[in-house]
Amino acid sequence: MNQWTSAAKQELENYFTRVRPTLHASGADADEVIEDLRRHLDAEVASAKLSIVTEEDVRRLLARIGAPQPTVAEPAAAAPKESAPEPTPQTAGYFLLMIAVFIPLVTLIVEFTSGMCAETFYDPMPTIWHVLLVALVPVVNCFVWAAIFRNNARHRTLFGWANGTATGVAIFYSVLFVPLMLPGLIAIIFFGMGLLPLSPALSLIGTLMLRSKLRRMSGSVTAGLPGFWRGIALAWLMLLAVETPTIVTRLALKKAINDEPEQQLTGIRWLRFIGSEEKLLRDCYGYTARSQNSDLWSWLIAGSARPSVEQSRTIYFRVTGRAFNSVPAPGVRTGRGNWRELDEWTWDDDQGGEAVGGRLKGLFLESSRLDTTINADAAWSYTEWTMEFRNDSSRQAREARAQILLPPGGVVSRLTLWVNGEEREAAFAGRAQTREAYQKVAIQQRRDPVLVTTSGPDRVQMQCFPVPAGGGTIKIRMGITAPLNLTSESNGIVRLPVVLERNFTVRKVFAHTVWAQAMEGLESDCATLKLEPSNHGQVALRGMMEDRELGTPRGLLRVKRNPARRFAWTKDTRNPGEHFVRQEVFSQTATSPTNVIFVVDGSADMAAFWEQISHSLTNLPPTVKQTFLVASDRVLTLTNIPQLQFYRPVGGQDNLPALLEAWNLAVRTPGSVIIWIHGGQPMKVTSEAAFIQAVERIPVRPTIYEVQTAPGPDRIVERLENIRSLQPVLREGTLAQDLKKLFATMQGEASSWKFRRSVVETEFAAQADGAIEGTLHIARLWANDSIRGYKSAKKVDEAIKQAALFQLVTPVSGAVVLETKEQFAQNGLQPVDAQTVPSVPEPGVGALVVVGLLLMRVMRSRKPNQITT
Amino acid sequence: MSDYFDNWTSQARKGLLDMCILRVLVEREYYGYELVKTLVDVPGLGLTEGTLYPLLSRLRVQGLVTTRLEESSEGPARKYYSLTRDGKKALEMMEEYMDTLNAGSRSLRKKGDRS
Repeated sequence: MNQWTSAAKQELENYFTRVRPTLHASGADADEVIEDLRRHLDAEVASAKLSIVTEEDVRRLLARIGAPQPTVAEPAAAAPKESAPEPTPQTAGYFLLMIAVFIPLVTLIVEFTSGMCAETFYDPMPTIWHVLLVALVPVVNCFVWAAIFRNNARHRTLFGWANGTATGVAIFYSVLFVPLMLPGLIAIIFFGMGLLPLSPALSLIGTLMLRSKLRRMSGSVTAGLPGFWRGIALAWLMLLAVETPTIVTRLALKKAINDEPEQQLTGIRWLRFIGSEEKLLRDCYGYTARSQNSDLWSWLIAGSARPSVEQSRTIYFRVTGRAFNSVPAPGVRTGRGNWRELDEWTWDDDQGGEAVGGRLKGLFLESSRLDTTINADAAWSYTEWTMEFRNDSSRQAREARAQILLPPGGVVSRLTLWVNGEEREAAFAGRAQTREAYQKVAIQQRRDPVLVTTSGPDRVQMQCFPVPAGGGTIKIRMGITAPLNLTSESNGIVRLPVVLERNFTVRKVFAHTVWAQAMEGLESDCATLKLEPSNHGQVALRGMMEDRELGTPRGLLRVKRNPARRFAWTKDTRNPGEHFVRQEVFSQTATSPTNVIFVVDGSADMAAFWEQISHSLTNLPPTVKQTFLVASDRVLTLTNIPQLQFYRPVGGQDNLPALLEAWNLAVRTPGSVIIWIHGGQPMKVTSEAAFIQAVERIPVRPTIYEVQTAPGPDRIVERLENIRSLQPVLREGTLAQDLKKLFATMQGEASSWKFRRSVVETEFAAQADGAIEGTLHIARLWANDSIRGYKSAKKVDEAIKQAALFQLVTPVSGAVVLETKEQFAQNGLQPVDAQTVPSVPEPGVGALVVVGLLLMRVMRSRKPNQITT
Repeated sequence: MSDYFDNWTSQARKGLLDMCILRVLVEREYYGYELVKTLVDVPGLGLTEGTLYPLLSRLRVQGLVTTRLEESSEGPARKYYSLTRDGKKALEMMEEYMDTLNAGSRSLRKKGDRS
């Protein structure tokens, strides 16, 4: 060890002070050289083995090593201009490292892993590009800080640009976080936390300080640091690029919700052209309203004019042509880290309501079983659809909802819920009463109910709650009585029920197990259904039917029948007294129309059918006057078919204005019919009031043949439930085939087959004309007809009474299964007797009595089971 | 005449110093004291320790050399110098230029000798 005297130290420091300006001028790092010289002197002292270093020793050593001389450097550095500021060595302290690197980096990591801001306010990093841009700030600052710390100006130009770019990003996010800065400051003052909202501003300050130091680094004092404004511009260009979908979408959305129809249309067209479908979808699930994106643009562009959830869903349809709930719900970006569970979380605004609503994450159709029995001669079918739902979300219990299309003319005649493994039958009562009971039990008490109500012609809405979280299941069964659809007097068709709209997911590879039984001649185009013998000499088709086949012509069950069987009868066992229901099959031949008005849906999903439609329309004889209306952004009236071929279907189109225009044309020309060819219209765009008024106020109403190209929800059809002029056309084949058949029927070239059901007072009258004895299903179908009659006659109480008596879900009645007897009693409901419900295969009346007696005997021999409370 | 020659050698040396430092470092990395001692002993270079350190610092700032500190059991921490890729490239260019210059100089001398 050696010891330096004070004089020696002073001598050395004086020397350093003298040489420092020379060192600066040389382009060297003066501090570094001084440190090097110190180190060298230490080594010399150690080498000379000096124990005490005196002032004289210092002079001697310094003389020996020689004073530093100005070295040859770059001209600029060697001869700095007079006007240039004196370059000073720059130091990069740890405070700067903290605000420019550490705090923004920590903020980025915290936000990225937890989604704290995204969940609470808005998502500052909605895409990976945003994350990368944000990460650019601490990364660039870290490099610049290190360069300054080491006084290494090697990549000065590159750092100048990078710093400018980081500055641009930091400015953007500082502005974005302005609203949160004050709360952040308050939080720091009062709670000692809340630094993160200040992070963008701090990083901006840090970035600018680093730039200043970088610029003044030795050797660079006379040269400006490049890339500041251009770096900022580059950053904003990048931000603009990643924000463009948001900006355009917001601008267009603002127009799309404008009161002016022209502005609306412009907005919709913009959205179709360049809007972000993902952002529109998020708007449809309102829960992300706060977490849409960095949303500075929303504030700047939209202000308070943001679409409601309902508006968003309509806009989504008008833009894409699809229902928002026909695609999976968008991922929750905020679901990160501790908030990960949010990723499976969907706010269900529609729980307990009459809309199916958005897709719920984690909710699946676990299994589906269809059992059908067909009595072709008596011309009815009964289908039981057993569905099990599963909820894989970890916390939230879910409500499964679906709109189901029944077989044409069908009516729900049974509803069962499995509670603790036991079957519970429904109570059938007034629509409002059942819904109220359901909402009380499901939503308020959160117990197990299931509700089925009608939601349009041949449509019901099923909802059941709760499907328990964590893989819990709920199982229900719906029985549907339907008339056989007769394509001729010897051929019938059964269209199995199909889900039109759902809030649960059906896995991509999913098949329904199907079993159908009839006396003979049963067949299907579904290749996976195989024929096999069944009970009592009947035959059955059994197999798996893919979900996409259900509801399509491939999923139809075709059955042969005895054409001589025109009459069937059954005893009405529900109404007091001796009554018999008699059913007659009769043919109807239409009078050829003189004027056909086609209303063709111009939505995007019709594109696949456009050629078939154009081709089919040529099948009509030229003697029939034809008019073509295309439901487009504006109703297009076409005078000939070739014009139709030039139209390009786009977006989702409201068909009501075209229908109203068609109706107006039809009523002014006697002998007119309307053929409405359309896809699903899942959203109500305009009010149906004008159309219904136009229909109601005309004594002679033209027929509207409704041809839907593919199964799907249609709000117009739903709302036209009471318009008898509307006649749905059963889809049996391709659209071209069905249109051809429709034209033939319409012109009286082929007959259509209908049913007439009536009540007779004697068994003898019922059995007249060789009528075959049917089952109570015939009575149920008659009751369904009579309920509609009561409803039309404004006899709602009678209609409800009839529906309850025959246990039917109709426009005036619903079916609800509650969990306990007490719940039924509290809601003034009485569940039906399990012995009175239909089943598959439907036993004859006699057999039913025998089974009933047997069951009664078994029940007497046991202690009665109490329903769990 | 002596002053003129001194001035001339000083100018010539200044231009060569960078190249000599880079030349030494191309073999391996040196710590400061070791590098100084090596270069100080080069005849004709007339280098002193006090001159060398500013040169090394400038070369580092220019990105031609890089440094690292390493603790030493024999005394204070040692600062090791090594060439960067740019430094190697600069050395190659310098040597190429010197070869050309020397060749030109030699040819002039030969021409002078013949005359």
